[in-house]
Amino acid sequence: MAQPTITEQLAKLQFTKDLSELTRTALAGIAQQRTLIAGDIVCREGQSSRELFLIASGHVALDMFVPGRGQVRILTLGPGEVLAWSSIVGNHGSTATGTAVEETHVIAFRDEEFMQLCQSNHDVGYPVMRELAKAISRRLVSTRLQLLDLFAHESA
Amino acid sequence: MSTETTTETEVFLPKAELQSLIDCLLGDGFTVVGPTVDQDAIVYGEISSVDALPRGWTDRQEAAKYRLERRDDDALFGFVVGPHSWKKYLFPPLTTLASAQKTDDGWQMRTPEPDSTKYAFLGVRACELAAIGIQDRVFTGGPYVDPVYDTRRKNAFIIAVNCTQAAPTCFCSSMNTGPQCSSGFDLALTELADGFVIEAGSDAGSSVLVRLATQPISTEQTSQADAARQQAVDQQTKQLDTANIRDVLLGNLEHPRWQEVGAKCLGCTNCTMVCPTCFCSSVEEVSDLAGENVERQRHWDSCFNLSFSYMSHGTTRNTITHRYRQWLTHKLASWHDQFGTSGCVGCGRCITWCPVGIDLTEEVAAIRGNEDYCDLTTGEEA
Amino acid sequence: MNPVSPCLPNADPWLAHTVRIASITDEIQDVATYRLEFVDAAIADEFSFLPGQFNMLYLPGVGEAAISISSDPQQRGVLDHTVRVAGNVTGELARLNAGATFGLRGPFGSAWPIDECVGGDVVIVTGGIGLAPLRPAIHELLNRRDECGQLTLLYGAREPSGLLYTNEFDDWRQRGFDVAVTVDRGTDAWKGNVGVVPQLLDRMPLENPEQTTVLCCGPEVMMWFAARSALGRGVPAERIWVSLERNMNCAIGLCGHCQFGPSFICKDGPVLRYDQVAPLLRVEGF
Repeated sequence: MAQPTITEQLAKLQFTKDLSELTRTALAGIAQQRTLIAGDIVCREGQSSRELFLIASGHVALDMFVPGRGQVRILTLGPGEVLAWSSIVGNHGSTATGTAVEETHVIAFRDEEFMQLCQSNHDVGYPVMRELAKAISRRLVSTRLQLLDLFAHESA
Repeated sequence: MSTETTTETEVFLPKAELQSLIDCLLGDGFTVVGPTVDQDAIVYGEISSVDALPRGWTDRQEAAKYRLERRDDDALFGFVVGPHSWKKYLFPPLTTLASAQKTDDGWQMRTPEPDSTKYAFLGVRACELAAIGIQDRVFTGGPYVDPVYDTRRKNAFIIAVNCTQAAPTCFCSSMNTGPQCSSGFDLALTELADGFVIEAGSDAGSSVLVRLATQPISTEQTSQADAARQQAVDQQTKQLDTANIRDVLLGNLEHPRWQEVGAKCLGCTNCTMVCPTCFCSSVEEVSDLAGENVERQRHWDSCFNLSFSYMSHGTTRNTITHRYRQWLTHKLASWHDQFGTSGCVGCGRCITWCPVGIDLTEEVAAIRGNEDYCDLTTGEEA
Repeated sequence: MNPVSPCLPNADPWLAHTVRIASITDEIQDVATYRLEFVDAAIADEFSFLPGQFNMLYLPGVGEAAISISSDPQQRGVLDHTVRVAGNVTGELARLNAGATFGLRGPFGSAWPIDECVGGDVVIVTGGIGLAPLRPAIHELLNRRDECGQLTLLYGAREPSGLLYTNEFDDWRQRGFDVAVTVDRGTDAWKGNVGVVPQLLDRMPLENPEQTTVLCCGPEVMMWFAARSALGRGVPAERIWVSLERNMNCAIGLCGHCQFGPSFICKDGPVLRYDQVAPLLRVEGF
């Protein structure tokens, strides 16, 4: 089976599937495919991050370092989810370390090219940034559910 | 008892012959229960004589108030309804449902033989007939039949008495349950000054009626009975607007009125205890000291009790506001979904016996004040 | 309409049958599976249940607890209940040993709509002890594997030690269930997914959402968000089913405790169609 093109993959992934074909093609134009093996680090907490990643397949875990506890795993991300958005909406400093937990295919966007695309063409930029906002919103809801500790009553 | 209607016409029973009705029922093995005065209220109790009836007494009722007063006549049924309802006989406040005995072979489970007591209820009002009809649906109309209720109900003989007056708390006309008794009885009486207009509503009723010293009814007696019954219609002032009430209440679950009534309500459970249709109960274990002979006892419970919705990881209805809303929306709204009828018969007991005078008709009217109720069918967050 | 009990309602719904504990399997902390057998052989022959139904387990002198059945409905003679210590009855049950007797009334309640599941894809979304009432559905779907499309189990717990039936996952996978597991809080040893269950649903591919049935059991907030996710993915509301929990006292719709608006959770539920309960799920204290 031939490897699907980036455009084909974008048409299926949650982050990009609702965008217009034109927008997806524009994104594909600045995207790079990358294959990670288990243990590969895609962004490191506290360090500068210059790429936004969209997971096409596989999983990436996010860890935060807590003195005395070490790396605490806060979340595992899977297909269709984005990470390292600090490169776009933050100040480029990663707030967590992203590590591939298995062979993982990601689609990477360089921050300058991504911002350049969104700023120069608002017909692309607005829907893309809206999808990014939706992704952040979903992540926020998931974090709230984690905070609610819904299974606390089941723990001794 | 069969409740088929017969074409029996009305006849007249002189007041002096009412005792023969009681005697007839006692002779047939019935335990006769009727209204009697106890602790300054008209309650239901076992009777064997007309002398036990509240001759010459009436009740004065309003929100949070109940007083007995002397009448200026010797009427036996010249009152409305008191704190008791017939449910205490059909759905007893305390019943043993099952028992368990520990043996060498482990626990042995039993359920008791059905209680063979046959009750004859004397003085059942139209709203109470409706209440019995509603509890019939609750306890015997679904996939599971409650054996305690079913046995007692099948054995019961019902003598209805038409209301000839109404209290300010009565609203049976709004609920379409009265004041006239139209079905669901074995015999029905309308009290006149010197006797009763009496009719049978079932074969069982007819077979008792033929044994009484009745007289043909005169045109005048017929019109007197009509006038007496009409008085109960005319005196009724309280109303409950039932139009679309299910959707109005279930569509207004966040209405600020619930907070207001919740702040007033004491959660005392009086309304549910006096309600003739409320059926909530709990089962408790009653064990001997060795823990080897255990009875499972069912007692009346109330949705106003905090423990009623307890679960190990939290109580569902934590505040009185939640519990009042549960009671009212169940009674007037979800009861329709569950049993195809309202759970309210308009007897007004919950208004009279509420210590702080909460009147459900006022609560519904207040919630209706906001007819612009939200559509909860989408479940979408605002 | 929900499937109804395959057993005729007991002539006397208050009469418990005596059962004996055949064996006890410790699952996780404070959770054990009790295999029960009826002392009366005639009852044993007659007894059957549908996936999702529950029994009232009766410990004389202590009381009753509504416990869902966890075994394969097709495996006649096997009756398992996976029970977490949560109160007086379950606490007392945990002190009993194999061979002890107590009472059982049931089965009660509605069932998972297996007949509506077959022919399409099925996603089971559950958390914690919520997997116990879904285990019979998993067995039933595997029994009818050939009639089903994609079968997926999304299962979460607070931490790895809260995951039930983990030694059965490989068997379920081999027989055709995709099993994805997540925990709210990882541990050093945990190499699996960290995050909440609805997130697994968000990211899983749904090829035929309109032909997909979603079965949910877990905390109401979890089910609400799982349903939102499923709806957002195009699963029709009438194909989403939830199992609700309320205080159950009689199990036969006569005591009033378990009401949830129009529904008695004991006899109309516990398994209810999402669109029929959704409007009330987020009403506080209802």
